[in-house]
Amino acid sequence: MSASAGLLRAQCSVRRCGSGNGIGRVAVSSSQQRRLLNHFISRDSDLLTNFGFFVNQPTAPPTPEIPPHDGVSEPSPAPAPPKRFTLAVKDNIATTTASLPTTCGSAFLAAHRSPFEATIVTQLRRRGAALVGKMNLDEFGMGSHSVNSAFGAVAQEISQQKRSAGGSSGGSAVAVATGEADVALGTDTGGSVRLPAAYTGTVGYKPSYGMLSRHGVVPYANSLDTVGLLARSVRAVAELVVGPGALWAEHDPRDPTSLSVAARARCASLREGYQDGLPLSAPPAREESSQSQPQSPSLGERYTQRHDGSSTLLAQSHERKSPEAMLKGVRFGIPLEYNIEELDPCIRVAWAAAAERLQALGARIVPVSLPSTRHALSAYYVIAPAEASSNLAKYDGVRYGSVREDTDQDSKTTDAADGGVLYAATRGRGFGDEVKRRILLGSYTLSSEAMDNYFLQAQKVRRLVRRDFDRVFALENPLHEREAFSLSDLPDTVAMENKFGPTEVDFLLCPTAPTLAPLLEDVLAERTPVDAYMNDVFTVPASLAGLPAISIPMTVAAGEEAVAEVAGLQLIGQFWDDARLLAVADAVSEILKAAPTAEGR
Amino acid sequence: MNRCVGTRLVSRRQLVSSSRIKLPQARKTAGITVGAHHLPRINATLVVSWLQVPQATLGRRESTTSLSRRRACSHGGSGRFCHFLAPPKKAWTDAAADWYHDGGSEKNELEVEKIARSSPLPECLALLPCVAQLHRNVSLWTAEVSRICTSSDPPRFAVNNLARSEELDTKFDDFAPSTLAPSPNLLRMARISTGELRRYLLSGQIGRQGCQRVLRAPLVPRSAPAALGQTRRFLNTTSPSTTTPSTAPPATPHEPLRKQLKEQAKALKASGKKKKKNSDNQTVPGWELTVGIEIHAQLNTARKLFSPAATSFNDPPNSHVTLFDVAMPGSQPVFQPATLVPAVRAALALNCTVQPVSHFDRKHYFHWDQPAGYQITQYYEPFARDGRIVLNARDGIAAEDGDRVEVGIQQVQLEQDTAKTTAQPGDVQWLDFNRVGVPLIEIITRPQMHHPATAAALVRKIQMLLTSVDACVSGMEAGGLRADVNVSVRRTGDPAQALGTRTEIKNLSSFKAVEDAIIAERDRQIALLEAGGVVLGETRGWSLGSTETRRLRGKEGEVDYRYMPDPDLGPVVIGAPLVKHLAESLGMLPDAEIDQLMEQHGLSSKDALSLMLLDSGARVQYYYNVLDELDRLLGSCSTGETGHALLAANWCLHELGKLTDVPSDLRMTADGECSVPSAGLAAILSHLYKREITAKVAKDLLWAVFRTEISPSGVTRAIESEGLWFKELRDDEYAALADSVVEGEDKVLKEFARFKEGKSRAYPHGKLMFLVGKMMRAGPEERMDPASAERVMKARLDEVYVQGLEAAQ
Repeated sequence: MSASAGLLRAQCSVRRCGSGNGIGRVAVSSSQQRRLLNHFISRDSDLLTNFGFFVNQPTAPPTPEIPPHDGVSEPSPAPAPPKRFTLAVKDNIATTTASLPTTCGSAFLAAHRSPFEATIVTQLRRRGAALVGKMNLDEFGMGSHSVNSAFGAVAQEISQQKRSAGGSSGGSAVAVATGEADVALGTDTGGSVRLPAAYTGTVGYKPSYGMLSRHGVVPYANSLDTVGLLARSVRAVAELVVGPGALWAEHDPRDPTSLSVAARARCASLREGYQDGLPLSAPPAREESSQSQPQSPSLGERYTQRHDGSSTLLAQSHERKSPEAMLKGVRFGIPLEYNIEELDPCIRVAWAAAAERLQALGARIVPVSLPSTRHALSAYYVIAPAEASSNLAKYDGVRYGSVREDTDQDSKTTDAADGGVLYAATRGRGFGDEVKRRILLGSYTLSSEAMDNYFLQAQKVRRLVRRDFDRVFALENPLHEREAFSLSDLPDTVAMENKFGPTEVDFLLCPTAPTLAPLLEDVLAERTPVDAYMNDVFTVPASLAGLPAISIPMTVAAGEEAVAEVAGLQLIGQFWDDARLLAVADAVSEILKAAPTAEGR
Repeated sequence: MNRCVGTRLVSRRQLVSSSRIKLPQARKTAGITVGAHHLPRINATLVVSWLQVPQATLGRRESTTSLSRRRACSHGGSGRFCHFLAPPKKAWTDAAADWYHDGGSEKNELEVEKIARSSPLPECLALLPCVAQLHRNVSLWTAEVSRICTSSDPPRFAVNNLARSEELDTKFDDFAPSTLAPSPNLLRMARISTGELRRYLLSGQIGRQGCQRVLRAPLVPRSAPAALGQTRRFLNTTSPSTTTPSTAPPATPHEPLRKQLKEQAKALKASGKKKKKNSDNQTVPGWELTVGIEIHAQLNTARKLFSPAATSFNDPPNSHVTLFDVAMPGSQPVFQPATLVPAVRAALALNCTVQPVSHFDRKHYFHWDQPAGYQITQYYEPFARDGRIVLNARDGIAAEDGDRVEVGIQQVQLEQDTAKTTAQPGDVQWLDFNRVGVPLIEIITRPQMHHPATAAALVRKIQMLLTSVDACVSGMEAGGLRADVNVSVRRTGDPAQALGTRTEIKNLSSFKAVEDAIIAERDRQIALLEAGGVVLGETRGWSLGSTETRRLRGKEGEVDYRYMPDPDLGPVVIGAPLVKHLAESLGMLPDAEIDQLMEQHGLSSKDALSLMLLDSGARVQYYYNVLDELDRLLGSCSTGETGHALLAANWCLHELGKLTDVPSDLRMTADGECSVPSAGLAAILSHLYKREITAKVAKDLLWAVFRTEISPSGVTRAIESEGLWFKELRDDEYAALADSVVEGEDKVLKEFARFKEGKSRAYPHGKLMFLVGKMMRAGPEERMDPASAERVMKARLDEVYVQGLEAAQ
């Protein structure tokens, strides 16, 4: 390749990440003996034999360092002494610990050491997290199988077959699944935390937009990006978010999209499950046992209490209710539009079985209609690439990436003096194919001739998607005025509760992905790169609407031999209903564990 | 630590050999972090004092954030939306969507006004996008529901879209030059000649020495710049910095010299060999010129637009830079609301309507002086619209425009400046990120000017307006103001005819350049059309002293900026109380001030205008200082008179101007002081006004004060010790002198006699002055006043000599 006259001197040189950087360690296999994982960085070797999910790992054993308070990011003191846990961080989240680079899985940032730490990492370290490493991902978070990384593909092995770990937070998911880390940080733009969780049988949680700080998260699509958490149990997530540390309450003044303290208070006052008042007052002392983490009484019970306006989840959290008690009276919506043709039959069966099981325990199962769903995926793949094309404009070789000397290449395509484009060579070399594809897509949809037909239409669809959700949820979206809906807009399939309309629900229950984790070779051999976009069909709507969602493991009977496999069951809640979502997801996962749906058939 | 970031224009050869300025990124950013941490935090009281909110209203001094937070909490408790933290959602969500909808905004405006009205004054400080944060996620881009519901076409596009992506994928190898819309600037950049670079270098951006010194200097943590604590900044008025224009410096087009010379000769011939004076060249018979102007002005703020880094001039390179300024991955913009104060003042001075809700958009193009790859600006929803400027004859408009012209302002928008590029020898460019993100306003006029001089007058007037409301740091001369002009021509006689195709001339940096470039471009277009050609919509450049604009890029090379609303930044909500407050505290605008100077101080319109314009408005401040001091010194002597004001104005303008050829030698500061302290000049003038010294002595004293030979307070003492008091001759001494002079001038005396007899109609004033002059030469000059001499001489002539002559006859 050649550098052209007029190209700019790069600030960071490319560090070749050959296998020499790999950290070979035998994996801790999961309890189910389903996977065997080697994990080291690989670039030149065969993808099918090496699975890289660590991008980088600190050489010293992880010890939690409690960062000092800077008085800016956290208005409240975290409880002390914090419980220690290991934390894996997706490599598009800035860290400074042990001087690990923050590569975003891109050659552009292969040697980029962030001068600052992401707020979320600081917050978790203050709560006892010890960083175990930076996890591999799809470059800049763009992908559904974590195969688009400059450091090689991530994979998991199930029954001697290399399977996709999902993406883009695939490295984080595998780290949690194998026990390398108790909790992993991912980012969820259109399902990047939930999809890997579904494929690896872990729990993946995407919070309401604006709840967890994005400061220090390298943006893919700012209006959709959220920081998500992966863990082996819902409880581990819930404890961090709505537990005594009250991550949900912390506003970050450095993130302009982080909800203000007042807005958090207002939203929380309309919801259950959050502590009374705000972190302005000291949080309650940490409870001794992790068992006693906040749980709610039965939601049905609390509906009556709600009218008194006095009770909250935490006020009664000292004794835990059984999952059955938790679920009594909770209304789950089954989105009819999610029953798509491409849905793997075994997942459809497990989904129905889970719903039946919940109904049997006293929950209400209500079919609901989200008519805009079928356009959501298209809208997502217009909006996200558009924002990405803008965000990635900074990688031009001036400050990030390298301008390299290479005389082999035909200079005509790169030489600015010959009428070429100054940064084209650098950007062409620095980005992977998927990133280039999305930059082109985004650049096109933002161009003056295509703006009206693509970007603006997509924004309209986005609004329709949000409106669909607002219509089916019993709770109002605190960010919008209540809208009037015409019953005549509803499809005939929706049953009416009464003359005012169909039943409103508390949560939506649906699969996380339409298929089981595909074989890695199938992923790599896909006919067109856009086939992978299909995997996001169930996760994208919640992202477009900024709603909280969680994927929990669900056992399915796959194939003709009815082999037990794991898929993801997704729960979606109304905006800022995260606390209740986590509590109910915990109960549902308990139920599913107790009676695996596949065996129930 | 190295503070200069190296960016290079390199050939392949040089790339290999040179690694001198390459910086490891980590070290660089570490340096930035240190710098940023040493910056003082935004001083809340500073913001408050800027707004000059009465203490009583505020209760006590508090930061804007704590104010908004307090209010928010009190509202939060009741579970209702606080208007600040969350103004009626509908209003601004719809407003957010408005940029792609024509209709439906009327209702929104009403709603927004309701918000604005319902917020009392102190809270209007919380005009921040905090409101936005609430709504950020889903609502920002979403559109009006009713429209969508009726729209029938959404499903199709996705298919096309994905199909297209495959298509694009196959031709990916030559990495999409057209799709990524690179800036043609880059192309130009690559062609900069060494000559151009040398000129660029010698124009003194940052002294080469200065930069090298910085390179070697050890990193010393910077203490807070003193200027930050001030409520106003008067930077750069005494030491104008030559900043590079924010877009690329105009490069010489790649054209063979012979061709250039040929064209020059042709142009000279075509223009009739002799260049017309501009004032005689305002119209071309049969053609009508139409001009619209875009003006970029640096706002007078302490902070950058989206980071708390200080704005600065000529500070050590890269010393005021935060992570966001250099687009560090993961960093985010934090809007600095104090920026709105000068911006709104500017909008008010231009008679604009300040929009209650405005938005920031990203404008994409690649250039090394723009680290993020896009500039944050306000394309779809600017913060101010629909203004107008009145130009009077005294503003220097073309005579053809008569006494008065009104020019509409289409919009005023906030945007970021870019980094400063300094060319170094060996095709090296140095980048100083101090200027990145500094707030600018762009003022876009309507195409309503028809004469070149009027366009220049408009730019001059805008500069004067911005300076007078303290919105702008420096004028055109200092690089704080830049203009782009759009020029088109059409034949007169058919008012229904559409405007001609326009061309844009970029980066004009003086009033004269505005006028000259318009004339040249008008003539070029007319010549082209008369020859049967077609004007192409292109971007052109102009360099001082040339006779023709030159093509920079055509339509085909136009950048598609791919404007996109910034997804990290919420709307800016500006409360009506803030606008009202700023409007009330705007002070006197230049037109009113000029009227006052003319009517109450007795100045001519020319002098009044000069006084206002000189030293970017500092000269008139100096004049007021002198006048105040003079009033004090003269006490009751001056009441009810304007003579001393006129005297002071003459001296501030003319005598001060004679001291030096280089205006900067005066070291005029924005608060109205210079090398000749106002007290010193006032002391001199008070003695002159009371006729205690002569004008000649006064001028000598001025020199002495200018050279600091005597202190301002020592003026009287100096007069005393040097014996410079004006001890005027008594009348009888004058008379004696007159007698001695008249002796032997019988011929002259006869003239007076003829007048007296009525033989000649005009009084022979010249003869009188001849005699007075003779008298002055004969007597002790330092004790004589020409006026007294004249008076006595005239009396003697009338009373003694003419009568004597008559008697003799």
